[in-house]
Amino acid sequence: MRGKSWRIAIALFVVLLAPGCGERPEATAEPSPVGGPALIRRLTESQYRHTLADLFGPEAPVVARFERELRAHGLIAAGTSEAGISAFAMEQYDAAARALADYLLAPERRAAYLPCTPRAEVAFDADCAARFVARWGERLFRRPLTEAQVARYVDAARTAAATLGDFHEGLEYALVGLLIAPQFLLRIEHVEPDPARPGGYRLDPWSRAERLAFFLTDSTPDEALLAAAASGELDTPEGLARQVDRLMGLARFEDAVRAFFRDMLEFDRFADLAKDAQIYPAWTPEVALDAQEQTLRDLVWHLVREGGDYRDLFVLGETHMTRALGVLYRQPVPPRQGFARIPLSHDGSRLGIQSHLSFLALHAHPGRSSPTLRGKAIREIFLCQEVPDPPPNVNFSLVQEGPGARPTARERLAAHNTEPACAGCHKVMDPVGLALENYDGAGIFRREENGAPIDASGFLDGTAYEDAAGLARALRDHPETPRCLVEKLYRFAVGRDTVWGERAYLDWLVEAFARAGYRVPELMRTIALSEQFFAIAPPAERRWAARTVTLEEDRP
Amino acid sequence: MSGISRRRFLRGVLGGTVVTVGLPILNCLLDDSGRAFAATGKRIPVRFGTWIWGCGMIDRLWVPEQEGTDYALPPHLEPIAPYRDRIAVLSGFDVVLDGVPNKPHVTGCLGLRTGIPTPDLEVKAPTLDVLVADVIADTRFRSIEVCSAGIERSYSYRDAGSPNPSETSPLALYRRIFGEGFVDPNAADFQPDPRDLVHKSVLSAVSEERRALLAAVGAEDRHRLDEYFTALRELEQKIALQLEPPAPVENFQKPEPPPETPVDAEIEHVLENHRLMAQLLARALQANQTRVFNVLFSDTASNLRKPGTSSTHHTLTHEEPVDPELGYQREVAWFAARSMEAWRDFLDALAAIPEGDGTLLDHCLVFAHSDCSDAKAHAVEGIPMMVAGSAGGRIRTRLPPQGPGRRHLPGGAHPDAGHGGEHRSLGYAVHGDQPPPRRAARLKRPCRVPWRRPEGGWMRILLVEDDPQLGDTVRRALAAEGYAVDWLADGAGLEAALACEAVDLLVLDVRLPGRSGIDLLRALRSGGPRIAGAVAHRLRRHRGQGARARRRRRRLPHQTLRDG
Amino acid sequence: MIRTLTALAALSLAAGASAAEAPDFVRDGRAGFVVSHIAYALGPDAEQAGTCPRGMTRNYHEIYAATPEGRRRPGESDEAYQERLDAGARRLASGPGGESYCLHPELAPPDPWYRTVERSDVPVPGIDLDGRADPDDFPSPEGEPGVDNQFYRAVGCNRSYQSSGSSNRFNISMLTGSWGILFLLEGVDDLREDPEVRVHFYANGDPIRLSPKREPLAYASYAPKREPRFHAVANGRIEGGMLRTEPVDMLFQNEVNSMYLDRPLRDGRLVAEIGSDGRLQGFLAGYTPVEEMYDMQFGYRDGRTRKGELAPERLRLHTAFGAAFVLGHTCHGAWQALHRLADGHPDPDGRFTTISTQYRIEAIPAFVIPPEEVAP
Repeated sequence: MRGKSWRIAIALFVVLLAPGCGERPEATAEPSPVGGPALIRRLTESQYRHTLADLFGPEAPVVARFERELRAHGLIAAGTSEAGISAFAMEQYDAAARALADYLLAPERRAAYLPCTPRAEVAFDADCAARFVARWGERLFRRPLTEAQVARYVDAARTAAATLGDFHEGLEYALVGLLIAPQFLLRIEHVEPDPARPGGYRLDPWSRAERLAFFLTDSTPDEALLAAAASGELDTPEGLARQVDRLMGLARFEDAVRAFFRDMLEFDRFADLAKDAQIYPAWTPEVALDAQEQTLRDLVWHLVREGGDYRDLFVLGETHMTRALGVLYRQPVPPRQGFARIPLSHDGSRLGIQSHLSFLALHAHPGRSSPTLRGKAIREIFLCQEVPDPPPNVNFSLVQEGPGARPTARERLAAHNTEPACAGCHKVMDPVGLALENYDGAGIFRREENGAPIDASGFLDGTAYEDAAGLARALRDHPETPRCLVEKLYRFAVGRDTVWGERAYLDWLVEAFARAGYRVPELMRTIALSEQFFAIAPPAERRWAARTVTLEEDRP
Repeated sequence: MSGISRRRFLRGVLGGTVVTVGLPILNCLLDDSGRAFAATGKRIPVRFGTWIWGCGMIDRLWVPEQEGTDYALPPHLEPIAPYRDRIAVLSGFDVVLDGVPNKPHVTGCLGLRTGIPTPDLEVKAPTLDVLVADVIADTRFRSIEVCSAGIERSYSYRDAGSPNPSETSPLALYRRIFGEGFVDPNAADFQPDPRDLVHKSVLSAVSEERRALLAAVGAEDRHRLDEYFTALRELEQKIALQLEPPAPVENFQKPEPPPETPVDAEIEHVLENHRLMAQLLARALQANQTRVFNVLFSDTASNLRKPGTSSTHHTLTHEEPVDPELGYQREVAWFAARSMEAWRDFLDALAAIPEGDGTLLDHCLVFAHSDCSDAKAHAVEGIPMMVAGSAGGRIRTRLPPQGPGRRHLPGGAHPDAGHGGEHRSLGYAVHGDQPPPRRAARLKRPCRVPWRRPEGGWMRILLVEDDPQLGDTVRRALAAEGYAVDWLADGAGLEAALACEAVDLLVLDVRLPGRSGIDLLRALRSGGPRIAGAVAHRLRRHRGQGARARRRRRRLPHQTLRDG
Repeated sequence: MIRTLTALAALSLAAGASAAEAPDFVRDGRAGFVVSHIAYALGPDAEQAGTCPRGMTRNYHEIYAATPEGRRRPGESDEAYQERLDAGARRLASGPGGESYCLHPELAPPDPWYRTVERSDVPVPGIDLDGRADPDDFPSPEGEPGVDNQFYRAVGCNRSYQSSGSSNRFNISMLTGSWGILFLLEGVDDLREDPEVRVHFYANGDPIRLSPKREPLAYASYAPKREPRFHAVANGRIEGGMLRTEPVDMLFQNEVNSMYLDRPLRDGRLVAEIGSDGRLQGFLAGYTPVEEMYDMQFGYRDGRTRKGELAPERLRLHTAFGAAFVLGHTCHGAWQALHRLADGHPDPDGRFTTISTQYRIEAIPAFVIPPEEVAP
């Protein structure tokens, strides 16, 4: 009897538990951190500009011309850890530094930037100079200066003041030095021994503050964050969470989201984009700028303000539009200036950011569309599926006829998709791009090409669709879509390519992303608070030494 | 600029596979007479530059049929007829891929400019112009890069992370050279600006941070920091120049600012921008603002366009059918002809400046080249090149040397290309699919200086393997990953090779004729050059499993390199 | 056999196409348009058609130069002669008390030197406005009788209204964006045959949107001017792809020398072909009140600033007088001709107060934003 009642009890217990089995599994713990190297990352153009605006006010002039940023592993953010500084860039930073210092220390406004009033105009006030250098040096170098560093810049100011006969001009040149110093232009990460793991290393608090600030605000650490670094607040989980939440509440958080998507969507390539004025008369430089702003505004609106699901970006039916854009989208736009929220198309046929002009026109030729470029872009940008380069010695005799023979792109690309040497890659790219053929090289809707109707049906990794709206839904539901975003956002945060050892961490992040309803701000918070974000791996030399192979005797 | 021996210069500039450089060029750039850039203007300095046009040429319209001095100018070379006695036309020279995948429009161009073909834009060595500038540039700008087709690239690299950007607008170029910071060499009164003095001292104060910073970062990052400090030092030197009274330049007049022009790839705009920028560049060279320049006339995947057409030059090379009457692609030929006319425009701009007893062109050495020969096939064999200018009278360029080219491919291996006669030519050997020549001949190559990528992923590998098939497979597999591989058939020349070359990884077959790999390693360890680590890996032939199996096994050491 | 099959195939394709494709510019039965080109529809050049046997109209300077005192004196320099001509012309253009005939043409004596087109047998483009074929109506170039185009008569012998002249180029000022015309069709069920549509006529409140090559772009968004007087609505029908509207009074604008003027059209109607790509081509025709017509083209008496205030008298006077010189007419001669040739809307005394006017227009698809939706 007792045994039976035990069994009944167990059975009841199991039955009671059963409903619980259908629930989501508990959040798994973060896998132990693998870590990466301490990096030296160059400031991007937007980070440079934001930093100067935050430190010196939005009116402060930035007279530098910026060179094209290096893209590595698909992201400019990853390229920052590989990019050098060319002679041209040095020239430009120097010119910007001098113009800025001149502006800030001009008599009418220098009071705002001097922490002290000098005792005399001409005589050198070493004390005041030291305070000036320490204050701005700390903000610019993103950590307190050592005494030696302060002394060096004060000496430079002293020499300058002596030569030019004016204390403030001396300070100007000290500021110029600070503005072109490597500790300002490069984010040099410092490591310190980790008290929690003997023999291990961790980023020092200011380097952690840097990573947080540039990831979550695309700008330099503010005073509060620097104070938190100095006081040890960033060493505690609660302190770190407090700072992360504070940073994410700033207006600059939206700038960080914009910076990420501008990088991921490759908007820097707009600088090279030209459309033929005869074929696309509606495409103007104003349109090019508005198109980028449209997509970024939609992204911020949907992801940050509305707390929306990332995947829904591909099926968004509403957008921000200006009158200049309205000409190409063929939609009425009420306000004379600026953006209005209106439907993307009048019949709901155009959905998602992949049907924005910023995508369609960027991945197309100057005078016509390109299913291959668009397909490749969708694969690489949204699905992280790499498409290899074309083989150099392609036989083009198959596509030699004039346009009359094959009026639509689908027919022209048919050879690419059947010829064995080409089909491998083209089968991956073209069907996706062909779905977007109803949008010409500038993104304008069309029903036919060269008089022949356009067929926009196809498959995306097993999901069939009839048209671009169908592709939108297929993209939304594709399992790689959220995973790719996680990988790219993480790479953006740490500024390098991911390594094999981080796979478990990325899996965990994808899980967290799904649990949070695919909300991007949540994902950013998860990354910022994870151990992996700050983890440092042992230096390379030591790892290399550990790998030395001992000789083994040859056995017959 | 310390004293540079010819050997070191060769090591630097010829970081490529098999290259011979015309000795006269060396002399003019290296010896005392070349380096005496006297401020008195007595000796006029030599300038060096490159000029790139995209998508190659049409064989029958560009390649001269005859060699020697009296070759007939083919139709596309007719624009340069006035300069034929100052131009050498080089045809039939190939970039040797050696198993490296050919990325269209990139591998040929960068392989030519760095000597090491790469499957992408991650160059393994600085480009030729950077190395030359390292030697001869002591001017305000170490080099100036321009592009007339609206692209900010230049194909001039210090290393993979440091490309030199191009100016794309004539007005911006003007402002950069003749705007703020320009000191007119003929200005009647020169007053050094005390602000420049102060500026320079601030820059040198910043560079005092160098030692402390380099100590604080890891080995991989030191290289990038060093690059920063080099750029800083150059800026300092630039300001130092502004503090000295400039040497007066005969016939120099500061040019007027050019009009603001549309910057895009429409052919008329490109030709106009190119003309304007060539004229500005010529004045800049005359006034000693720079000694080295790079011009990208059209991108290597040429983006040139006619307005109202949907195809660029590049897409036409692939899609335009061959005209049955002409025997080549008509529109492509049109763009190729315009490119050669632009080259003539460039020479015109240089020749228009009187200098000494000749013109600026006489004191220049301009190396013009494309990225491929036949754009449709992205062929890197027979890339068209031209050398223009007399480099101060030290170059005789009337001979159009013709390299072996693919037309002259006999059955076996080829030694280094070279020509007899007074003038050795710029050339590359043909390898194609043949195994490379082994033994001592290979070691005669100049030693290379390895250039590291910051993560330390790239290495120079010396492979010692006697089995020809295995060795070839291994070599190809490693080369395909982008490593530079040398292959010795036995251990005999190993020490000599190690003495000559700086090798990062030595891969020894255990079983070798003569001494075994183990013995060799022991010998090296005891008395040879310092080796950080060596991998002795037993490679077995897997019967019937083919090359893939071998390659898979091969992955292990190179995986080691990746993680390390 | 093959021919029949091909023809059948073509037919079915065409039918299929029109059924499957709702044109992009018609949405929920509404289609908006912006006028992309407008000019007066005038008859042939005088020289070519021989319509001015008594010569062309003369301006004040030419009239003065023909008088004995207006002749050049021997040894007179160019500048001195020009000055004398200017003074003489100014005298001819003013009354005894100095009042300007450009601002007050009603005070002037008849101008014997103003020329008009007398013949009626030259082909003149336009539509029949009054449904009658009167003796002073013209035949259209297609041979249809009854074209009412008295404005052409009034200016057909003026140099500046010939095809090489500049008076008929006011399209340029429309392209600079200072004024414009919008149409909005509602209730469009079929673009080829629709017995009932409503057509709105608006003065455009926004500058026309142009490509970098300065050609008007289709599918731009425009808000009409807010004042109700710039809004008119009429019934219309579409027959054989041709839109015709009932007469209604309309008001648009003109701009000359930064002065805004009214461009009224009484009993105006639109007769235009609607292309499948949304291009309209045809005539906007009606009767322009003579005084406003005089102001628009000759006198600028009512020229107003953008704020609606009367422009300074100096500006109006100088513009009118200068126009007379450059364009080759006298202010009062033109005013008299317009009154003489007026053919519409008689006043209680039986005098006609409006003159038939034909505009040739082209329009392209546009979005007309209802005024209440536009932020001020």
